[in-house]
Amino acid sequence: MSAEHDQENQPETQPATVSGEETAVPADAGILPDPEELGFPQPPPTVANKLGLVKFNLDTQPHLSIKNAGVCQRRCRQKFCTHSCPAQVYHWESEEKRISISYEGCLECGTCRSGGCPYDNIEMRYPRGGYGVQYRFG
Amino acid sequence: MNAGQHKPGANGTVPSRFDAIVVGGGPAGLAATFTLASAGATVACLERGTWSGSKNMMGGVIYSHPTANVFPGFWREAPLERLVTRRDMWFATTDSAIKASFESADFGQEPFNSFTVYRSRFDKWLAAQAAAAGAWMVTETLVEDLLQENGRVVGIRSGRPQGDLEADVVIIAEGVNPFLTEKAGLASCPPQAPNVALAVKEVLALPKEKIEDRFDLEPGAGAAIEIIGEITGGLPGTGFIYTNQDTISIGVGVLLDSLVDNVTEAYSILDKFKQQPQLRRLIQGASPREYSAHLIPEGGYRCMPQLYGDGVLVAGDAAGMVNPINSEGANLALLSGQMAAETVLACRRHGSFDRDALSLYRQQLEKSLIIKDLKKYENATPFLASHPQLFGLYPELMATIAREFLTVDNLSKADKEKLLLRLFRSQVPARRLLKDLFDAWRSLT
Repeated sequence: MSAEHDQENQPETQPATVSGEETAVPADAGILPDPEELGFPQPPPTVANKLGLVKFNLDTQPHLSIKNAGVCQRRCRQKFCTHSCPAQVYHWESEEKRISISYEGCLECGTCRSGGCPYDNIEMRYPRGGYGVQYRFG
Repeated sequence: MNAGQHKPGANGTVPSRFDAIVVGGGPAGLAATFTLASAGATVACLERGTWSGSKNMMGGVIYSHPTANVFPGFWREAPLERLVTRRDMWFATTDSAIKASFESADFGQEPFNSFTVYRSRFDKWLAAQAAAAGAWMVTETLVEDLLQENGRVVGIRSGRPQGDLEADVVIIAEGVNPFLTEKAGLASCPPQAPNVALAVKEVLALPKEKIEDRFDLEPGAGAAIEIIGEITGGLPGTGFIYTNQDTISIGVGVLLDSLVDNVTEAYSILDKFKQQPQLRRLIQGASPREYSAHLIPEGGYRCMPQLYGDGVLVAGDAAGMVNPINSEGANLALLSGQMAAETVLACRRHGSFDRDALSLYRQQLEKSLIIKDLKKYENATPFLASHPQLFGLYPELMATIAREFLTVDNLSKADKEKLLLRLFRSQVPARRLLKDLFDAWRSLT
């Protein structure tokens, strides 16, 4: 275990930086002209577009899982997590009859363990140290 | 941050034993760490993010008085956005708004009242102060468990290899998801209890001058706006807007239980909120820079965990220290972190960190505004959850009354009064209005 010497240092195993940080405007880039004035419409407010603005340090280990797939199949009609999660991490795969989890875009808020799944059927942990969401503003 | 200064141990390796270990580098944890390190204790603060603040989000403003209590004169150095000189409250429907505004020259004078901040930068600055005071700031380190011996907390287990650290006392400042508080058996409400609000927020970039024009602000001054009404889809919650230097923070916070019951998405509410005509005007042409989401513990006094145990203290959001009525939390976190540290320092003089000794923390909290305010509003969240009319019907009626009185048409004023009275009575029978007023008085005063 080593003390933090440099605040910006990366985790020991360098993970890939994902989710459009290269294309997103860096925090300190200053103000660009209004895209609408330049004739570019604002992107539609989909959750995917919102998450495209967020920086993540992708972990290769999922930190979210469904405890019992049968509960999603048989008991949960509404698929509550597909609505309650603010990052739309959970999707109902109707053909496979299971919830798929895009843990990469998780904002680590804890909704899924705090009533966002009324059946308490989601196991949520935090990603390993240094991984996951990295807010530039917060 | 200077590594090695004031630090024991050799070759930059962290010693395995400390006077105190603080879990979490937010306002509570950093206030505790800074206070302990400043008093000469060896203290390690463990933060799972790459830097303190990288996981943190709020509306939001930080209040000057409690912050300066821990970090005197912080406003001269800390990364602040705008000095808040105006606080507005809007009662908004989908197409209209009644706006109450308070502006004070006092807010612009030292020691000031509040500032807007980006938590990712502000918390990083707090952590740098703690490091400069001699604390070990260990980032990118998730604390996975507490080390216990005979029911007594003696340290932590982190996710790193050889990641066990021991200490006389562990201060849990892990935030709203109380994993360790639950593991230590200190939690009083299960995580599934209806006691959290989900907040989602967007940071939208807009040039400084446009912000100052649109919000009618002096250069560098800021506005904080809280919005109640149909804009939360009639669900118990509020919307907020805070001005930063060249961005606007806009978001909504809604009780999670009501979102789930209504199968509604928080981001859909935010998207509609941004389309409300009076709000849309303020953010027109602003381009999104970041989206974020966070839970707010609103269980209040009833859901507070056991605040101390053998070798352990709990502070900040982890301890449920949020006042949902006044949207306060970071101030309570800072104060509770400081009190936890002062308790540890007092116990150090007697050499005992058992339950009895650490109960001093609870006594200090009881004397402070923290427990007083939490007790005062202990019924607030159940009251708000069970009175959705406060967020839909009442603001709608207020707007209707204002609209009718300000609309000049061929109705006489007496006819308008009759019409409005009839409308009001049909929507809110007198008995119900009295009951709501009584419930509000009982729950909020």
